[in-house]
Amino acid sequence: MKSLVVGASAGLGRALTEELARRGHDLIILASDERDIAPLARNLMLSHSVTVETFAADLATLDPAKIRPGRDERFKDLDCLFLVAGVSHAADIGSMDQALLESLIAINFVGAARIVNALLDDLTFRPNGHIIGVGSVAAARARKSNIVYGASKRALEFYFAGIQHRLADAPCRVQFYRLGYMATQMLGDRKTLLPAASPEHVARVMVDRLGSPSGVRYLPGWWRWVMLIFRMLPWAIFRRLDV
Amino acid sequence: MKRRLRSVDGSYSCTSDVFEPDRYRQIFSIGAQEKIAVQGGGISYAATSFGGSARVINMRRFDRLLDFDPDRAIVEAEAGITVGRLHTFLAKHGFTVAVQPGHPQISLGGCIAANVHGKSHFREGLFADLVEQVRLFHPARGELTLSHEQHRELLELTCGGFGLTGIILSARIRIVPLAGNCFDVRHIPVSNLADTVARFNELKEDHDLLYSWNDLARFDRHMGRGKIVAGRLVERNPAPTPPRHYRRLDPHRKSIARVGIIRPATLRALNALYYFATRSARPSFLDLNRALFPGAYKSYYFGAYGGAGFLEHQILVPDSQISTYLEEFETLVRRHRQRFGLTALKLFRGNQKLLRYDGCGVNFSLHLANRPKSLALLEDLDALNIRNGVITNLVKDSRLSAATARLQYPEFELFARRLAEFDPSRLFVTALSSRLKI
Repeated sequence: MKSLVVGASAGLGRALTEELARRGHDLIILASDERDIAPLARNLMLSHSVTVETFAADLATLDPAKIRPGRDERFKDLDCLFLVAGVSHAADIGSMDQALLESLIAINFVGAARIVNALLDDLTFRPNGHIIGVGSVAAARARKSNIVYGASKRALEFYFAGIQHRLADAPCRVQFYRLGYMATQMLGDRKTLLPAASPEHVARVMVDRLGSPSGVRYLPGWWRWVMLIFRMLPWAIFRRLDV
Repeated sequence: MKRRLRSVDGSYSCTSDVFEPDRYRQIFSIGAQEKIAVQGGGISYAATSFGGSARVINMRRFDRLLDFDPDRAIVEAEAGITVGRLHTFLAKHGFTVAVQPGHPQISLGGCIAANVHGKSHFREGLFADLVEQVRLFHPARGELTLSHEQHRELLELTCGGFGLTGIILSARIRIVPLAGNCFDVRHIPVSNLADTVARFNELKEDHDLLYSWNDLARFDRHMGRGKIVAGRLVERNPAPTPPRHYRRLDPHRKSIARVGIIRPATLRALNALYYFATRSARPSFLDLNRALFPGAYKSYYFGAYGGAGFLEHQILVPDSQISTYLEEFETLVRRHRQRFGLTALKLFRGNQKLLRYDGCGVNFSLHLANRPKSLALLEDLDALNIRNGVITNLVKDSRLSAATARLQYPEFELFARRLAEFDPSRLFVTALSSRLKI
C-alpha cells in the first residue's frame, strides 16, 4: 500500500504517518516546511523500514499540476490519500484580516479540494483506493467562534459528499471524519468541557477503518450524540451560549 | 500556556509559560527578547529546566531518529527523543548507548545538558564522551553545528552546560554493540561503606553494572550494611521478558494523596525489610530495561516522601580521600542521626573540568526527607566536602549554594566567563542557574 498524507508535519498528520508506516505503508508526506518533513521521513524509514518521500508545498498556493501522477512519478500508484491539513485562528470571530480569511479558506478547503481533484482519476479505480478527509465538529453547527474555519470545513465535507456519490460504484472508498477535541498544539492547554482524544488514538482508528464502507463518522464516536443535542438546541437557547 | 511545574524532588515549583513547539519554524522564530529555559523530559531532581519568569520551551515533540549507521556505530536523533525509545530502537539492531541514565523518560538533550552518568561510569565515562556533534539554536546566534572540529569550546560548554547555551536541536552520538540480551546479576552482601568500596575495587574491571545499596537508616554497628549489585551482559535464549509498561513519572501532576510512607519513623523498618528481601546471593537474569532503567519501575518511590519531597545529595569523593572521608562522614551522620532514605555508591573514573560531575573516586547518592534537620546535616556535609575536595552533582542538589559550588568546582568561574562571552545577554536561565548565580 502507498499513502499520501497531506499535513503530515505535526499533530494528527504525524500520528497518521507513524501508524501507516507501522503497518507497512510506503508514504509520501506533504507539508509546507521541508525542515519538518525531512526528519519525519528519516525517522519513519529508520523505525519501520518503509519507503518515505517528501513533498514540501504550501497548501494555500500549491499548483495541483505538480502532483499529477503523470508529472511526478512519486504520486503514481497511490492507494490512500489522507487530507489532514487544517488551520484555525483565534481571530476567526467575525471581522478579520482579509488575507487571514482567504488563507483559512485556501488551506481548509480550496487546497484540499485541489489535491483530490488532481488525484481523483488515478484513485477512482484503485482496488484499495481511499480518499480520506478530516473535518471538525466545529462544522456541525455554525457559531460565533471559528466562523470561517467551520464554514470551510463544512464546504470540504460537502465536497467529499459529492465525491462519495460520484464514486458510489467505484472500488475507491471515500471516508470523512468529523473530529472532536484533539490533544494537539492547536488545542494547547485550553480547558475543554469534553475530553480531548490523543492524535495517536484517532490515527489508529482511521487506519483500522481502511476498507470499511464510505461515509461520514465522528471521531471519537460519542461526539455523534453530543453534536446531535448541540444541533437540536433551539435558537432561543443557542444564541445565549458562549461557544 | 501557563503550567505549574515542579522538580522531581518536590523542593521547587513555579508557574511558567510553557511552549511546546512542533515545527522547526516555531523554534527559529523564538526571539532574543525574553528569558528562556529549555525542557526535555522535565524530570530532573532539581529545577534545571524551568524557573523564575523564564518561558519554558519543551522539546518533547522533536523526538525523531535522523540517522543510524551501524558500520560507524553512530546514531543521530532530535533532542526530545527519550533514552527509552532510543534504547528500544538500538537494541533491536544489536546496539546500545554505553551511558544510560536511570529513567527512560529522560531526553537525549537532557542527557547532554546534564552530562549524565550511567551504571558504570568507571568503565564508560560520561555522556559527553559519546557526543560527536550537536545542532544548537540560540535566538541571537542562529543555528550552530558543534563538533570536535567546529566550535569545540562551545561543544564543551554545552555538554554539561545545563541547557544554558541554547536549544539543543539534535545530536550525533557514538553507540556500542550490545554484548548480550540481559544482565546476569549478583547481589553481594557488604557490611559497611568501607567494605563496599573495597569490594567495588575487586569487581570494577569485569562488570558492566556495578552499584550498591546501603542502609544508612540505622546508626548501630550495622550502619552502612547493604548489597552490591554486580552484573554482566550475557546472551540468553530466551531472554527474560521485559515489562510491557512502566508508570510515567510526572512531577508536575497534582497528587491526590501526598502522605509520605518514607519518614524518619518508618525508614529503619523499611530499609531492614528491603535488605532482607533482596539479600539472596543467587544470581538472577535481569532484562535490559529493568537493569538500565531501575527508576522506571519504582516510580512510587518519588512520591513516597510526602508533600515536602526529598533532597538528593550526590557527591564524588576522590579516591585519595575516601578512607578519611568515610570516617568523618559516619561520625557526622551519627551525630545528626538523620536517616537516609536511599544510599547508593558507584565508582567513577574521569577528569573533572568546568562544571562536569566527573573525576576519580566514589560516587554517593544520598536521599533525605526534606525537613530542617536534613538541611542542617547537609550543611555540615557541604563543609566536610569542601575540606576533602569532594564535588556535588549540581543537577541533583536543589539546595546547594552558589558559594559552596564555587568552592567545590575549580573551573566554576571559567564556565561562567565562557558562557557570558558566548551569550552576553544570558538569555537562558533556570532556577538552577539563578541559585548558583551562573
